[in-house]
This record gives sequence, structure tokens and C-alpha cells, in this order.
Amino acid sequence: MGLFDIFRKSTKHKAVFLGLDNSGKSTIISFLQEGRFIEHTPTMGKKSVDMEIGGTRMSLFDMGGQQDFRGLWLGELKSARVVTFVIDAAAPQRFAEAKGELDSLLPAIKEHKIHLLILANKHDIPSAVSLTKLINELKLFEVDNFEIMEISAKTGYGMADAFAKFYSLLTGEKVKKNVLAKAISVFDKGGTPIVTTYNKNEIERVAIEGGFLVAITQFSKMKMNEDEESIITFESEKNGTFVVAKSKNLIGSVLWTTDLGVPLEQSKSALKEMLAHLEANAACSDTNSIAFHVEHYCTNII
Amino acid sequence: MAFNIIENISLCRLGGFAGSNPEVLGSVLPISNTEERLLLDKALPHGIEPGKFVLERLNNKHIISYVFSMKAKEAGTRDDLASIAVVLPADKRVNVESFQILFKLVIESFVAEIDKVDVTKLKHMIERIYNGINKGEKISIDDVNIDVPSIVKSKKLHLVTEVERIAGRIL
Ligand SMILES: Nc1nc2c(ncn2[C@@H]2O[C@H](COP(=O)(O)OP(=O)(O)OP(=O)(O)O)[C@@H](O)[C@H]2O)c(=O)[nH]1
Ligand SMILES: [Mg+2]
Repeated sequence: MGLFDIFRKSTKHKAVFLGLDNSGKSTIISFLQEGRFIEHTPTMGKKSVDMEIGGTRMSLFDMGGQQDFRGLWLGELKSARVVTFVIDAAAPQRFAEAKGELDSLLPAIKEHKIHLLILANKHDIPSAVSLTKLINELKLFEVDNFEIMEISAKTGYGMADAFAKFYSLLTGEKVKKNVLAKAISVFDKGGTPIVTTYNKNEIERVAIEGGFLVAITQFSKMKMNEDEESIITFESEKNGTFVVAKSKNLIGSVLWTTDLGVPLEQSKSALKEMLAHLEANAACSDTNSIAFHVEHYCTNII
Repeated sequence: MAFNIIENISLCRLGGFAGSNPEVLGSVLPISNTEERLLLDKALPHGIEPGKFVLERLNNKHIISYVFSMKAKEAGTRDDLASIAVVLPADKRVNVESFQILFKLVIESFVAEIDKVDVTKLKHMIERIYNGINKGEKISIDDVNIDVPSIVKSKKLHLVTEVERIAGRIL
């Protein structure tokens, strides 16, 4: 599932992405477009990217963050509805510089009634500072009106929520997000559980049943032919339908129920995509790495 | 056969490291700071991506560039954006279309290397290209050999209508 399957509607809106060089603007934009991390060379001057999501046309201006290009920012900003100001949360030595640039934009942002969304990027880097610390260090409490979110354009952490916020600031519309699973679990190839994560909005926690775990263990022992679809479903009276799929090193499962309002097939493909993402990005022998990537990835699907 | 067509060739870069700005890393022949600024605007145009050829006009000059990503010095840092830019006089003597074909063939011979080599090597590369095309000689860099006169002959390229000596500064 691309991030975009979850949004809808209308005319062309302009947003500019500002922030110091190396903060991650181009990486964020390409993540929004492609739903995955792509490495970039620095942006020369500026680049505009048009996107359309369910009939909504958006023009995203990816501005070069180098000193030489900052003179271009104000000119683009004036006709925008949203300014997304990106900060590298793992580069505290550049906070003062970032704050200086942000401050110089504030009068124009106010005058033209532009929405300001601050993204604290690179959350995946262990030295990245917390939002509270960032707000204090950049004295953001002095800024009139803004939204701030923590993200990683590398792992995808917070990207779906950030895009939902961005979209509603840009279009004035609420986004409709399809929840594709109630719970997601990942097991190693022997069937030992590694991590389970739940839909944030679910009040009741899902009970993982004994029968389900037995099925996982049996599934882990089944030899799969290459061309055979290594995916099974397990009906549970109490919970719903567990979908279980196998990849090279892992077994994953999602819990699907009719009240999610999405077809079972969509949850199945989301599960397969998640396993492919884990195989490509996580160190499959390291349970911490898998747990970390599942948590990050799941912000996009539950 | 000497073509004496390239007035200047430069290696331009926008570094991938934090705090970089566009810069000219090396030129044959040397150019002034003002000329560097003018050249950078054309050799690395706004929004350009690696892998592209660019043809720009600056007053009475053509600027033909190849833009690529240049390996970062430090691991974990994104690559630089770089370009090899050639300045030609925009007059009747010069057939820019033919030159573009030749330039593309020369660049494509190195393209597999170009993303990997360092600044020092790239500086040698531009010097060899300058001499090779201007003097109509073979260009050889490491294992790559480009026989400029035979390309010109086989592709029936007419780079210049008359041969003239050019000297000195250009932009
Ligand atoms: N670890 C980590 N690295 C990131 C993240 N986002 C971006 N990066 C890296 O940070 C570097 C800069 O990213 P870019 O997207 O090119 O930065 P930019 O803000 O567009 O920079 P300019 O174009 O120079 O203004 C690249 O090496 C990215 O791979 C992230 O969330 N986590
Ligand atoms: Mg960029």
C-alpha cells in the first residue's frame, strides 16, 4: 500500500519545503511520493514536484537549503498555503542556524496567513533530540501558530501521520485513513514471537490465542514451494481472521476483522509488503532491529 | 587535426556535506570568481538531477554540461552533485550539435567510472578531455581510451567550419 491510497480530493495547492541543507526535505518528498526511502544528491536551487492524490493536485516546492539558495525561499513562500520547515533533529550544532532561518520567515508566514508545519526529521538516529527538547532549544514557544511532528524519512516513522496533517493544512480537508489491520505480529522463522503491535485506536487489546500460536508453529515447519503462495488464514471466533505469511527469514501475521471496512485482500497485501520491507531493511537475525522496524513501519498500516 | 573548440572546461560541485555551496573545483583554463558564479548558474541549473546533459547559452557562449553524482568522501554522507561543463564560443564557426554528440560519446565512455572517482582524478579527466578534443588526440584515462579523431570521422562530425587559434580567457 502506498501512502497515497489513504487520501482524497480537489484542486491544486502549493506547499514549500524549507530548512537547512541536509535536513531531509528531498527525502521526505520522495517518501511521500514513493512510500519508501530514496537517497538524494543535494538540491540545486529549487525543484517543483506535482502530485495528485484522489483528484487533489498539489505542487510541492523542494527548495535547496544551502546558504546560496536561501534568498529564493521568501519568493516561493508568499504564494504557498503551507510551509513545511524541516529540522535535522540529530544535528543540534545547527539548531541556532535553523532557528535564525525560521525566524526570518515568520513575518511573511504571518502576513500571508500561511500554515507552518515543522518536521523534526531523522528520529531514527539515536542522538536525535526529543520534541520537547527541540521546542525548548529553538524557543519554538515564541512562535505564534504552528504544528510540529517527529518523523523519520528513512524508516517511515510518523510519515503517515505527518502527511495526514500536511494534507489537511493544505486542503482544509480531513483525510480518510484506511486501517488495514487490528494487530500485527512478527515471528522468527521458527515461530518464536518477536513483536506484536496494536492499532492505537483500539481500546481493547487483542488476545492472541493458543490455537493461533500452534498454527504459527506448524506453519513455520511447512516447506513452501517457490511458486506456492506462502500465506494462510486462521479463523478465530473471538478475534476475527488472522492472516499469516512467510518470507525468507520471518513470519508475519495481521488480524483482520470486517469492521475495519477494507477487503481482506488489502490486508493480505499490506502484510506481504511489510515482510518485504523488513527483509530489505531490518537485520533479520537481530530481534531488536526487527521490533524497531515493525514499530516504525506500522505507523503506516494500523 | 586540431579543433581548438573548447575555451574552458570546469568541474563544478554542490557538496553533499552540511554547509556546502555551489563551487568550481577546477578549470582549464583558469577563470575569475565572477566568471565562476556565471558558469555555476548554467552548469548546475536549478532542479537538475544526476545523469543529465545540459545545453545552456551565456551571452556569446554555449555551455554544455554533464551532471552526475560524485562519491562522498565520508561514509554515511550523501553524494555530491557535480558537473563537467564545457564552454564553447557561440559563433558560426562552431557546430554545437556535432560537439554535443562527441561530448556525449566521450562522457559515456567514462560514465561507469565517473560516479566512483575522486576529485583529483576528475580534475585530470577534464584536462585530458580539454587537450584531447582541442588537439584532436586520443584521450586515455586509466583503462579507457577514446580516439577522438576516429569518432569525428566515423560519425561524420563537423565540429568547426574553419580552424582558428584561440587563446586565453573566455566568459
Ligand atoms: N538517518 C536518517 N537520514 C536521513 C533522514 N532523512 C534524510 N536523511 C539523510 O540526510 C541527508 C540529506 O537529505 P536530503 O533529503 O538530501 O536533504 P535536503 O534537506 O533536501 O538537503 P538540500 O537539498 O541540500 O537542501 C541524506 O543523506 C539523507 O539520506 C532520516 O529520517 N534519517
Ligand atoms: Mg534537497
